[in-house]
Amino acid sequence: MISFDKVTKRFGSNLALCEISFDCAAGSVHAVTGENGAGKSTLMNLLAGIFPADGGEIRLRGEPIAPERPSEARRLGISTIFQELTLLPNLTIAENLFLGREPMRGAMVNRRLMQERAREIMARLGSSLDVDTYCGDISLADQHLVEIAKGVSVDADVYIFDEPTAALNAPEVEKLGALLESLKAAGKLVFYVSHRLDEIFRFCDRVSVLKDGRHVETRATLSLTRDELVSLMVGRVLSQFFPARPTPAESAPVELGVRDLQVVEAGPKVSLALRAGEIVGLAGLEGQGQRSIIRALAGLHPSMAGEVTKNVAGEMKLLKLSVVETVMAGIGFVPEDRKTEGLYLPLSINQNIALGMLPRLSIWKIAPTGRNLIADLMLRMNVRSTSAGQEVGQLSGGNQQKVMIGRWLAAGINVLLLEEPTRGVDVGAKTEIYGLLRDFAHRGGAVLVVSSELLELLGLCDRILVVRQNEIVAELEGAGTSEEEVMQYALTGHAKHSQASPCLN
Amino acid sequence: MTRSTTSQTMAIGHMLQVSGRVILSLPFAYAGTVILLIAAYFMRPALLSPFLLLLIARQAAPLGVAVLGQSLCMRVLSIDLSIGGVVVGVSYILTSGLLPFPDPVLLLIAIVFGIAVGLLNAFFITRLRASSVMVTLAVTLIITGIAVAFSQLRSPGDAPQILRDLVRIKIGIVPLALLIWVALLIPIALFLRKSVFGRYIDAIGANPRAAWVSGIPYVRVVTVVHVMSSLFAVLSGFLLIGFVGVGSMDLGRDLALNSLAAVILGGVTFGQGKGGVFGPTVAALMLTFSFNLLTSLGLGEPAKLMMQGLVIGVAAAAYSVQRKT
Repeated sequence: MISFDKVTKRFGSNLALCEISFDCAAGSVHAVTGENGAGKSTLMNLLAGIFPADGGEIRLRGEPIAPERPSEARRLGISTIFQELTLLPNLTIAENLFLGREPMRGAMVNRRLMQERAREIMARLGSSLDVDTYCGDISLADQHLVEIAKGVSVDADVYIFDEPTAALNAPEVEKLGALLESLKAAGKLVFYVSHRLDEIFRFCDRVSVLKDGRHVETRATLSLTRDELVSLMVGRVLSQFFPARPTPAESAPVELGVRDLQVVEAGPKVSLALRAGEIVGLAGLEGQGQRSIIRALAGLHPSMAGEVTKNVAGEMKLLKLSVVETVMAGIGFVPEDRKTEGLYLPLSINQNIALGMLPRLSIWKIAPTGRNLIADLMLRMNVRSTSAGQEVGQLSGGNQQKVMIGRWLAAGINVLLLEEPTRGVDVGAKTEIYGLLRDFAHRGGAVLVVSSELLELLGLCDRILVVRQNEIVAELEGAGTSEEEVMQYALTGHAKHSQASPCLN
Repeated sequence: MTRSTTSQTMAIGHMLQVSGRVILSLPFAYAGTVILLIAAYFMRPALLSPFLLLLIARQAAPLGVAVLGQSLCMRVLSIDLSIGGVVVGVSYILTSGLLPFPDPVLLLIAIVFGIAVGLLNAFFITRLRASSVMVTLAVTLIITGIAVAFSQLRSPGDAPQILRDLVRIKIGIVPLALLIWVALLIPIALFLRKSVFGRYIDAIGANPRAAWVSGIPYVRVVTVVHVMSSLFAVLSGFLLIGFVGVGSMDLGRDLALNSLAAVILGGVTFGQGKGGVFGPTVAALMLTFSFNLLTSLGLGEPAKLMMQGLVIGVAAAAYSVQRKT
């Protein structure tokens, strides 16, 4: 049905896809997998008409195609269910499903027919949601379900599911499985973009593995074991990628203490302690509360109850959770979305980093230029730029990330909270960022990381706390645990009955 | 053609290109001032006498002072349309005689009034997240309304002697009002360049969300900006009342709009402080000069209005184009 032939895509100087070639058959569910940043989404975006390829050819039933916009891809019979929500919150479910292709009666929308058909579509997904509810009023998981329904309601030959289960709960994942079966039976080709091994083995017939923008292999899932698939995805020894973990210091002082923190109304209570010199990871499925916990500590998410204490010169001081206060207390937060929440894109590298040095100063004071400090930092972090005066918006993702971390290093903080520290960052810069974090910890800092890339947490962290439904359900040694063990806790909240956990490294 | 001449022409071309880019990146007010002066040289050379130029500069002082505040607001993605209202309020406080106090006390009351308006603006903008355009416009309307209502009771009268003297005094040939303006400029420019406050203004302008997430005291900075803007408006009002000699409900009516135009011509757009303090200052001079030129050509008020509209319209369009790229 679809063939990729030497498909290549660049973003600036960054080679995102390099000569990808493989075929996919109708009547099958074809998994596209790989680590984050491997190029899965980029490849699918080419097919969905988000942006054009720079080289090679995509063929649909032997005919070369090059959709230039999503509407063109849809006309060719390619329907995409995006990872991000595209629903309009002020329209109802039915209105969203038929947006732009409403059933008409004369010049008017045939509301009755639209609602009826919307109900049918939602029923196919096993959902009993009222189709007249506004999309802004339903839960995130339900919104994703509507998103899926929207994609599937289009009559197409090729369906692309981009990380469809990221926000779904177990029963909805089941329904998704049934839906995939029915599409397959109808002779459609389904692309299933995911790095969840369970789902790949359960739902998919074949799997194509990408790594760093290159095609590694396409195999029938039946001919693969989990371990084989993981090694295809990772493709390198993890220990080369991550800095060595020091032997844990027994008596390191607690830098940040959290007791009975509640991030949702009447939710479970979270307690944890961050010690100097360690990197702790919050793992779990997406949307389980890791983000709320780290954001609450950063003063950006309201906390209902609990107390947070911070080590100030050897004494644990109670902390008021507001952004200004936490920064003053020496806690830095690196948000996931560096473009909208992290950086000042039109300002220079200099200005971006120098802002870190100001929080403890009155606004009426003269600001230090910190030229030497910034030059040192840029050298240490290996920021690649034309000069310290270059606009941050012109830097690559990895260098932007370094500038964001550098701002907190300049601030002289000793607790660093990070959300997805290497999202959208190329492999080389990833290694450098891991090195920076380890170095920060080594100098006596404490690091808390939220990441949806489990392999990253496994390789980087000293301890991993598994979060499920806003609760910490397990505390695992980073060096002694495995992807399976963490996933087991993340999915079920308790350990497997027969304890067997092969190590990854 | 020999190799050296080719490289020479290329070098000249490159130089032209670079200087072209530099001129384009400069605030429009600089080029505009030059163009206006040339136009005046051919059409109304009398305007270029040092005596008249100083007079025009003095006339530009109230606008120039108000522009300082407006440019600060726009650099933090806010706007201050209450400048006109503040001037009307100040004018009523000082000249109506409703408040039975000596002049220095009245001046003090006017300053306190300015601070209060700035705080009110800032409260609605930062705490209630209301649109700065709406809030400051509403404040202007309310103040003007109150002043008009009171003026039924007691109409505005003569300006305090101290203000009338203030604008009449000259040091050498330079009017004191002009000196006050210039004396404000330099410390403010330095302060914005060197202080923590200036850095925060740049940060908030570049990305207010990131500023909040990284713990920059957004509320405090924006509040200070609005209070400063209102205080500049009070000072601007003092100068205007001094010039006119009597209070009036029309005083400062187009100050807010002119300050907006001057800030934009001066190279400061929403969230960007490239023109600094001097760009808008030159633009204030340029606008005042252009109004005089238009009047001397017999085009007066209608042309002035059209020009204000044009400046703001073109600037808004340029801004959105810049945003998209």
